[in-house]
Amino acid sequence: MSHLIAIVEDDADLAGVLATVLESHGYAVSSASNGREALEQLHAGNRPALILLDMMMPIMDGREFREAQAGDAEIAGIPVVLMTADGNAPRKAESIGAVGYLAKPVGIPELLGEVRRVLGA
Amino acid sequence: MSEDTNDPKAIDVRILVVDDQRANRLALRALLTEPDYRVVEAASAREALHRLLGEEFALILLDVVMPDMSGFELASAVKQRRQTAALPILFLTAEADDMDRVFEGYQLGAVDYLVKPLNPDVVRAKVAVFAELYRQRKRIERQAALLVEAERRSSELRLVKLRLAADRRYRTVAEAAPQIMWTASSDGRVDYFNRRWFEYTGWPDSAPPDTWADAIHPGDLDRCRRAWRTALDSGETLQIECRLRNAAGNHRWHLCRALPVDVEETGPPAWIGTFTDIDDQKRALLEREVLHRETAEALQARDEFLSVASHELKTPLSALKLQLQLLLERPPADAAATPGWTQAKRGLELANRQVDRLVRLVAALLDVSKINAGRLQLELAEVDLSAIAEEVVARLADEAARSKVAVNVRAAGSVVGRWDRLRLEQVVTNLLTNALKFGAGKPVDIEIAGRRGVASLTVRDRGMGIAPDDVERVFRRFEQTGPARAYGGLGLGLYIVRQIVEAHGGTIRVESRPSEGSTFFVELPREPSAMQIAPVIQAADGRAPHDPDHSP
Repeated sequence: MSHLIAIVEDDADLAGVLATVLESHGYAVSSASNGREALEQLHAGNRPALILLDMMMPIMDGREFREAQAGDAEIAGIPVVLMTADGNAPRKAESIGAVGYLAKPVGIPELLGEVRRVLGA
Repeated sequence: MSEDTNDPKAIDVRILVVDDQRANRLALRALLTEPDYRVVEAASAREALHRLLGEEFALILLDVVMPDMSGFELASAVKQRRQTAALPILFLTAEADDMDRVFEGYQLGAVDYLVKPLNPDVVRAKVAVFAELYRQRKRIERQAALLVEAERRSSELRLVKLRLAADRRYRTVAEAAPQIMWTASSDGRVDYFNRRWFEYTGWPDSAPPDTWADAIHPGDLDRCRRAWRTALDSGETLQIECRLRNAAGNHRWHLCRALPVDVEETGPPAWIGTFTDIDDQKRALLEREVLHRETAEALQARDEFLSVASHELKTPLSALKLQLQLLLERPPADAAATPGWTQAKRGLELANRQVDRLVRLVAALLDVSKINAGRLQLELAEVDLSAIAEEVVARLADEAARSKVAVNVRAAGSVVGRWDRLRLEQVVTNLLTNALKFGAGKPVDIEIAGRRGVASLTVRDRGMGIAPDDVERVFRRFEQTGPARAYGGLGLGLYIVRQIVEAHGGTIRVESRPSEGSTFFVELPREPSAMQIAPVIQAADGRAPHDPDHSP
């Protein structure tokens, strides 16, 4: 059974191509265009193995999403990989308690490398 | 001299008559009549001593022979008492047979004698002499007392005059002072303002001093009254800033200070106060605060802008990059059979490289913006410079292959220091990219070495080199030497490299000869101390980072 990866990214083009890349490498993908939508999906029973989280989003950004996630024991344990354009991605990831990071712009090798590292496969 | 000291009657001449014979006492009393004399009788030596304790006498008339105590014994007792030691004693003796005892009396301090039976004229004459002596002594004593009193009064007068003079001098100084001065009594009532106060407020001289509150800004008045009350209660110096209304109706900030003065002294006021105009300093301070806040807000806004710009530029680049890589990695199933696919694939590869270039340019622009804003922050951690160099060389292997350049890495094992890993990667990447770009296809050497406390990185190419005139310019912004346009780029790489190296407290220099190649030498302290880390506030060309010409 393939791992489910949740993409939380407000840019539809980027979210789309991320999904295509991941699907073409055998992963199942769900998409949300902001933190609020991602939370709703999780509350509706969506249980991804990994969340790819954009930082800067409308309605609910990455940091707010992490706070809401941490407050809900059901979903708090789902690992998060941060996607950020910040010059210091490692520090940013650490500051929101993400297990990994992808510095934008993201390439396929880095994307797959980080996903595999976190999923342990 | 006052009249009563001239009047002999004002001086009471008391004479103690000591004789056991009442008849003798009465006889003497009859001779020495009032108002010249006041005779006090004592019938025995004991009674005489009792009298001497309570009253002051001018003279003692003393019978030599008495039953309880002899006259000589009494005389001896009188002479031994300090209060009566100077009291003249006239002995009363019978006939000349007592003459031996008279001489004894002289030794005991007697001044004269009278022989019984008493001759009234002789008694009167002798007593008159002693009475007059007594009166004179008393007069002198009185005058001396009067002199002391007069002296005391005169010195007090001098003191008062001195005080008045001091007060006048003090007032003169106060009047001449350039600041407002005032005095208040110990209960806090203001009783004096100097000329400057009336000049400042524009009030007439007749304005009573205790209306000072009318000049204080209504917004400051309560605060001032409370502080004044506190100072009065505690006796401690008052110091408060408040606005005072001037003659034109404008308020200016003043520093009000008041000191308590010694309240033991009766002359000076209990409080001396000043108002010093601090309006210019105060306004400058407020303006600085506003400026500081605005600068902080502007920096915050710039940081936010950089953050948003970074996100907005890199997000579409991500999508583009992923899409290109996806097309190259997973081409359509029948692509290979499609006419023109080879050409299309070359186009995709070119687009991919251009995206990478765009990515680097965007990163460089954002870095320069951060450096200009003084926001290049280092994340120091234990880092191995050799490992970083190996990683970068591996990452740029494709590019090296395309440029047909062999990259040789020589590292003396791991060279560890406390540095910012990402920033050092940037340094190595920039230097190596440059070497590949300008290396004319010849081998590039990278050497990493560690000495005590210092790590060095050397990158050597054998390409076109840099003209001597241009060597100084390569680390500046927007500079590219040689036929710059032929190579593209913004000329930011070496500028950023230098900023990063200097932020670590290190140095970078280049040795180069045209057509022989360039060698870049980087030295980094392994443990950049707080002192060594150069603030990135100052840009490489020495101009301040907030210079509007250099804003991004």
